[in-house]
Order: sequence, then C-alpha cells, then structure tokens
Amino acid sequence: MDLLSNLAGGFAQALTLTNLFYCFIGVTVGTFVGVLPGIGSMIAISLLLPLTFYLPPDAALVMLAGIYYGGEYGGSIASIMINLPGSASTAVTALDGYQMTKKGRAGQALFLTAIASFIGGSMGIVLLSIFSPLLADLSLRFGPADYFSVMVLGLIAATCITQGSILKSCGAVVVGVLLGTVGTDVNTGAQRFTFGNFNLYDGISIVIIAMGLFGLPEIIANIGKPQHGSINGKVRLRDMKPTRDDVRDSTGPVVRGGLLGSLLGALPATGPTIAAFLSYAVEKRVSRRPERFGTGTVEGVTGPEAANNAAAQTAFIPTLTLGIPGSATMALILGALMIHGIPPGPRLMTEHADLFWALVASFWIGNLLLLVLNIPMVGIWIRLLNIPYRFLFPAVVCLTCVGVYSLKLASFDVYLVLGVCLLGYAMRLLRIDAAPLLMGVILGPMIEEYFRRALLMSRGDLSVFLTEPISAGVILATILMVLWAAIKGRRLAEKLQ
Amino acid sequence: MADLPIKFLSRDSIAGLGIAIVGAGFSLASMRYGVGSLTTMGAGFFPFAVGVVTTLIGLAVFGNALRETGEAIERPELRSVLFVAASVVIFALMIDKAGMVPTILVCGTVCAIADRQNSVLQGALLSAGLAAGIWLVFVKLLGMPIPVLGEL
Repeated sequence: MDLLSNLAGGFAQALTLTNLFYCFIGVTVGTFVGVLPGIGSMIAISLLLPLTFYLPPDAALVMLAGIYYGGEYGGSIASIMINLPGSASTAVTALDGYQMTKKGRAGQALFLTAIASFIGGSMGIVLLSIFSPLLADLSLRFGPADYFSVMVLGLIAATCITQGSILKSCGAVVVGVLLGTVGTDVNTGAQRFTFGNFNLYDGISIVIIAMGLFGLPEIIANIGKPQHGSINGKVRLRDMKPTRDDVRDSTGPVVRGGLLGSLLGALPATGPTIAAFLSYAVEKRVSRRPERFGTGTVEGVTGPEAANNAAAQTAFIPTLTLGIPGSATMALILGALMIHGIPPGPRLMTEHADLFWALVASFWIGNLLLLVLNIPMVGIWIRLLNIPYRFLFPAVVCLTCVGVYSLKLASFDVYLVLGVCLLGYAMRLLRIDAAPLLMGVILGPMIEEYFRRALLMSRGDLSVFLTEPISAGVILATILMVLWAAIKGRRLAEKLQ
Repeated sequence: MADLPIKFLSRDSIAGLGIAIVGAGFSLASMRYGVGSLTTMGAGFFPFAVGVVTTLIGLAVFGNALRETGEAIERPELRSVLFVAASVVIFALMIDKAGMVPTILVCGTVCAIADRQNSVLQGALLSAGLAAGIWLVFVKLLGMPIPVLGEL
C-alpha cells in the first residue's frame, strides 16, 4: 500500500520533537485566538508568519496549519459560552450551543462539540490523504492555459462567497492583482511601480498586506466597543458527560456533517462557514423534531461542528495539490510555502512528498492534541474569555510592528503596513471585503506568469484559453458560477425588499 | 436611513470611484514600462490590462450606486485611528536608533491609550510586559538580530 507507507513516513517526520513542539504551539495558539473574539486565525497566522523564517519549512507549515484548524475548535467555545462566535464558521454553533448553556448544559455542549470536531476533522483528513495524490496526478497534465483559467476561477470563487456586493469584491480582487505587480518583473527585470524606492524591489510582502489589511483595521474597529459581561459559570469535567440520548441524537448529524464538510471544503468558493450553515439546514430538514432547533438541541451543534472541521481539513486539498487556495487563509498558507522556497502546484506532491505527508500526519496529531486541549483543559480557555480586549490590542499592534520590521530590518516596511492598514480601514468603512484583495495579491503574480507562458506558446492567440479542453471546461464553470451568484444575489435583494 | 441629498456621496459610489481611480492610475503608470502586444508582451502589458478591467469594474460599481438611494459612510473611529497610527509611526521612527525595548515601551503605551479606559500607567505596565515577552521570543528563542537597547 502506497498510502500507508507514505503515511508511515509522514508520521516518522511529524513525530520528531521539533515538529511535535511546533504542532502543539500551533494548535494552542489557534485555540487561543479562536476563543478570543476579535482576533481570528487569519491575524494569528500573519503575526506568526515572520517567526517561521527562522524555522525549517516542515515545522513552519505544521505550526501555521495548526493555528488554522485549531481556530475552528476554539471558535466554538466562544460561541457556546457567550454567544459571540470566535470565527465566522462557528456562528451556527452559537444558535443551539448558547441555548444549551442557558439551560445549564454548557459542559455537555463543549464536550460534544470537541468530539464532533474531532470526528469531522478525521473524516476530512482521510479524504485529504486519499484524494490529494489522485488530484495531483491529474493536475500534472495541466498546461499554462489551464492553470491560468483555474486560478481565475479560484479568484472569482473568492468573490462569490463574500457577503455584500459581488461587484465590489471583484474590484477588490483586481486591485489586489495590481498591488501584486509591484516590484521587479521576473520576465524583463523592469522595476514596476517602485518609484525608485529599493525597498519595493521585491514587491510588497504578503505579511505586510495580511497584517495591514486584517490585523490593524480589525483592532481600530474594535477599540472601545462595549464588551460582553464576565462569565461566572464554571465547567467541571464531570458536567461534561453527555447523556445516552445526546450520543444517539448526535451520531447521524456528525457523520452527515463530516461528509458534507469534507466535500464543501475541497471545492473552491465554499469553506467551513458554508459547510456549517448547510449542515444545520440539512439536520433541520431531516429531523423529526425540526421545531426544537434553536432551543438548544444537540443535533444543531454537533452536525455543523463536524462539518466545519472537516472542511477546514479538506481545504488543504486544492491548496496543496493544485496551488489554488479556496480562501484567504489558505492563500496565506500558500504564501508561507512560497516564502520557504517551495513552489506550490502539482509538483509539490512529487518533489516535496515528505513535506506533504508530514503535514497530513501532523493533522492527525494536531487533532488529537486539540481533543486534549478542549476537554480536560476547557476551563482555562473559558477563563480567557474574561480578558478585556483593551489589554489585548496593544500586544497585537506591537507584535505587528516587530513582525513586519523583522522581515528585512527596514523601518520602511513599518510605514508600509500603516499605509495598507489605512487602505484596509477605508475598505471596511466602504464595505469592501478585504479577503479577495489578499487573494489577488498572492495569486496575481502566478496568474501573470501563466498568462504570459500560455500566450507565448500560442503565439499571441487568445483563443488558446477556449481551445484547450481543461481550460475551456474551467472557464465554463466560472461563467456558470458567476451567473448563479448573480441570480442568487438578485433573489436575496428581492427578499430583503 | 434617510435619503442622501447627493448620491455621489453614498458608500457605494465612493467605493466605485476609488476602485476606478486605482485602476486608471495603474494603467497610466504601466504605459511607461512598455505595453507591447499579445505576441511580444512588455512589462507593462499585464498591469495595463488588469488596470483597465479594474477601472471598468469601479465604474460599474459607481453606476449601480447612482441608480439607487445609497447609504452614507459610517463615521470613522478617529481617536482609534489616530492613536494606532501614531504608535506605528513612533515604532518606525524609534526602532533603528533606540533599540527594541524602549521602542515597544513607547509604542505600546501610546497604542494602549487609544482606549479611554486604559490609563497611561496601565499602558506602560502592559508595554513593559510586552517588551519582556517579545524580547524573550524574538531575540532569545529565535535569535532575531534586533538590538535590545540602542546607543542613545
């Protein structure tokens, strides 16, 4: 069995002391920021990205990925305890999870959530290990034109998931692509949009874009906002034991949620958030007692939790095998790969197979660690919810400055992050989603490269994107997706009126 | 929300104009690098083309905004913006000369008082803890070459 020997190799690498340590750090930080409302895994990954320059690539990736899926676990704690989702994908959990807390069943809700998350996550990992090699084989047949189309699809998909105007999100994507062209052009060596400033010759680091766009504006918007009241309820281990009914009612939802999440996570444009919402809708429909949803029923908690954690794992399939991230966070992981000198794309699976399998193995280990972190130690996390935001945000600002400065020891970069922050804050006020912009910055240079290569091979004939079968199919899918989004948007607008 | 007297000032119209201006600016600037043709692309070709698309999208957002009664832009949190911006500028100004610990002390304190509930003393205490933590992780553990104390 190829798969088993690959996995065995992966475990051997993931279980080294270094990787185990950074996996632990990653999932702990992930849970930490997941619990704290107002600081998401996105901010945490961009804060820790400069730190990983000092680590070997496998340890760096293991840690950053751990922050991402750890955040999904942590986010549900805040949802259940204070009705304030730590991340968007756990918003659904708050619907019934908080009701369970009000009924005094917080312990059971937390326990079942952790177990459902673990099962969902495991299902996602199984799919990841089976399908990634197959997809990588397929993508080896991609030519430059196919890559161009697939990446454009990825970008357009990113605009379709945003709340609010799709057109404005498209605007954000293309502005991101433009910002991505700043720096030295790899083909001609020309300095584009650098204004003679040598600090810009390497382009604008994605660390600067991510921190400036997400970290700082989020902080500015949250300062001085009234906070939730403190939590007095203590959750003891013996309060967490679920009843026999809970277990019986959860089995179906967890399995369905895990399957649904695994599928949706791997597709572009859908991710943990949509997976969780859909799972909730499915459970409500198949339930014999749909009227109980929203009043603290376990199915409404365990299904979506299995779904979002499964999706968080399978989101790595397109990112690692095709080099196409499905969300802004995945784009950041892709950026981390590039920073460590590993070109993303189908060759990652063949040329860096050890890294891939070590990462997969670390997901298993990380999910096990999360189970430990979230069941016996849940009390610590709940106490964290009482830390006032006003003590936290100066730390994030200082860490942002230090992190950005550490990139090149250039104070210019610190001014640049402030500039991006002001742009990000203006976009926030104008209700333009920032996630598509980040994806544009990261994918833009690759899109340009494939565009040029495709046209070089076709001698300037644009029809190559429609005559190559894979590319044509992808473009058709893109058009269908845009139409679907447009129609759905109109229906939503009509409903609102 | 009341109707805006001037639709030009609605949230979406300003967003559209902003996007269009960025696109047009990049397109114009990229002409300097040589646009070329589809067979022989210059360094300016791709940014020029994407800039044109950006401008069109921006104008479309602007046009849509004019057709409906838009919403006004919410007021920015000026106090927060100013204090956070000031703390970042202070960091950039100090870090090369003063070294890490003094820089974080000042930067963190200025940032902390962005929230009216934080006193200067609280901010300073918080920053002292931060400086120690950051020194431990960045310099001690990861060996980052940032001087702890500059020569003043």
